[in-house]
Amino acid sequence: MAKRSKTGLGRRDFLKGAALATAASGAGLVSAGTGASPALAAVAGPLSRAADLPKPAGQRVIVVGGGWSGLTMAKYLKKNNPKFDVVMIEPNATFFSCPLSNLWLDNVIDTDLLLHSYTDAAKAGGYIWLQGMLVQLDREKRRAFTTAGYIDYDYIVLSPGIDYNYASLGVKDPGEAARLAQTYPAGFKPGSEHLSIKAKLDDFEEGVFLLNVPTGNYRCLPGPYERACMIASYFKAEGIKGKVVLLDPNEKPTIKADGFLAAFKELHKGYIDYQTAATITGVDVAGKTVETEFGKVKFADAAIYPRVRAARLIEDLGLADPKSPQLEGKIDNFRYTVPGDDHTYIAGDARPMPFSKSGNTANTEAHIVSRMIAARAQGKDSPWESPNTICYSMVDGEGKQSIMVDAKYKFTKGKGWGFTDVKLIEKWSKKLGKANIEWGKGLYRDMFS
Amino acid sequence: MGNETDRRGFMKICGKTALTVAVAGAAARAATAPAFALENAPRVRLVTADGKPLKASALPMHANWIFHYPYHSTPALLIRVEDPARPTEVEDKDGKSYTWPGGTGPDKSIVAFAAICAHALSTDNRETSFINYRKVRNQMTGHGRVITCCAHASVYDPAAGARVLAGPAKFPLAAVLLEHDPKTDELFATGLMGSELYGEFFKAYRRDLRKEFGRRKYKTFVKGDTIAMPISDYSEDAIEC
Repeated sequence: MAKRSKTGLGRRDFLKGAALATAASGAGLVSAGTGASPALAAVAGPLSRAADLPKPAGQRVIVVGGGWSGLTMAKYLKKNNPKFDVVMIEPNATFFSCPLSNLWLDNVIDTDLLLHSYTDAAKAGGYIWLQGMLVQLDREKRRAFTTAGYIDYDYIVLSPGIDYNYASLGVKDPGEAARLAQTYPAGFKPGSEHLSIKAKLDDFEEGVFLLNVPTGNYRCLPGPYERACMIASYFKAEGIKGKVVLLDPNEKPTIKADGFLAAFKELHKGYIDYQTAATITGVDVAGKTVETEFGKVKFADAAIYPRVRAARLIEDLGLADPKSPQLEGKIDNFRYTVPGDDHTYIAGDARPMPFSKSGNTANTEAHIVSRMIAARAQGKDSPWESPNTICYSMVDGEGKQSIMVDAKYKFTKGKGWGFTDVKLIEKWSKKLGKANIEWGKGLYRDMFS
Repeated sequence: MGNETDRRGFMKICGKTALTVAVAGAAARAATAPAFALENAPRVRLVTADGKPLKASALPMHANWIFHYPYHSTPALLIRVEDPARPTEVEDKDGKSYTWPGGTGPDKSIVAFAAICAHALSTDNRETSFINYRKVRNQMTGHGRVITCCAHASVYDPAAGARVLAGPAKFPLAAVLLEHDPKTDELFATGLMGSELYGEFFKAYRRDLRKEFGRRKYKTFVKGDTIAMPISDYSEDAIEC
């Protein structure tokens, strides 16, 4: 039997008022303060009623997040244990794929490849998609409060992904951060951001399009470098007098360095200005300028990528490791469970292990973790396996040529986590370009059918 | 275990009993119950692009050929490995064991498997072939003389029932059962063994299959002869990784 553990409630005081307390007490929520407040009673609505779900057929597992981790997790929890009743909570109405989206910027692929249906995924996977967000968690009672009602569960997997940390760019004012997020969206959280970046390119007249590499273990290590290549390809193809300025705090690309450096030099001469040891310390949204330690860089347009952190939800639920610079979840690195709570898991980019935050990593990890949960629910276990980071990057939009890397992870006592079994192909080719696209198609099949 | 008789038989499941028929008149040998066996599987002769029967002796060593079986649209790899391929016990997608009967032909080195990757259905078509046999060592996986799917690096051993050697695939490629007629040196595809993925394959590729093979034809069995040819002739791009 699981040890009694600290719930996420108690520190939060978001329900005030007796009216609320009455409505909420049935749901087991803590209330504080005095005096009724009719407006707040209305807000309590979804938090004080059960979600519209059928009575669970078996042990209920909630998967929070419908990204590359959550989608794979939901489907394979059900596959590995057909007796599970699986509910996936995701607020987005449609799935939009960040991986491969850079290829769309240069029209190598179209959005029909990137857009997928959550209803189809749930239907094919035999689980329920509840469109909503997790707001709070009572881990003692095993009750999850969502914007679509509360759900009682046996196991919960939190794979809510990332959020942006705009303060890391020196943009500390929340108003400025919101302005920056909307004016120069980063394009590493799926959906509208990518539509905006595509529109910027379609409208681009001339000048500098600014991209940057954040510090820390950011989502999609090759992303900014591939994006630079695709935008450069686009400028060349369209005869645009434009240039990509790519600011990188590192001395060389964080992944597939030789491949990207060769591509910048041989394929995109004159179109990419790659500046290393360049850290953004401030952004002037109205002035279209970023500040670095060495001076200001002006741009015509940009996609500005802050440092990432685990989704705010992890911190809100009291599950973040305070020592983690990106406030990622505190979990057993090999079991994926929260300390003292074998019913709560964290997976995907919110994980604290320094794995590459990428689609293949999340997908292969979810295969492994879903096996673990299914086994443990039946009194057995399933051994740890390393997730697999297979990562293609298209460096030539005109020729549709890509490079790739394939790596796994191992833990060494005293040294910590490191890459292992690394295979690198940094000579670009059309064949790898085709494999690049098929990589995506195969994983969409894995997640949606 | 081995003897000179052809251990190949084709499976005909009528809902209950498995029958094996030994070709070349030797003693019948019951194979372990297959994980999947196709009811009324077509018996089809392999021919070359010009319509003439493919002779086993004409298939080069380390051949990476393709033919379509059992449906018009479902591709299969035809491979000649270097050494005789012995019967191998492997597990299907539900973990049940079955015995892959081994290679066919005069030197038991000719094998065939569905060209549909067991991981995420990557396959071989006119435009691109992602799953191929190669003699040389892969850059990505370090294995040679194997079938590799270059979408996510699954590796299968063609000399051992296409069991998984590496990568995310969880079960072997379905095996196409072959018969060799020692008198005419002709080859026949006679059945299937292992975990078939044709339902999912049709679902994933239906629109393209209809266009390429025809609305009804794509999901009907081939009859009589089926053409086998090198993948380099069939496909614009055979992907190596």
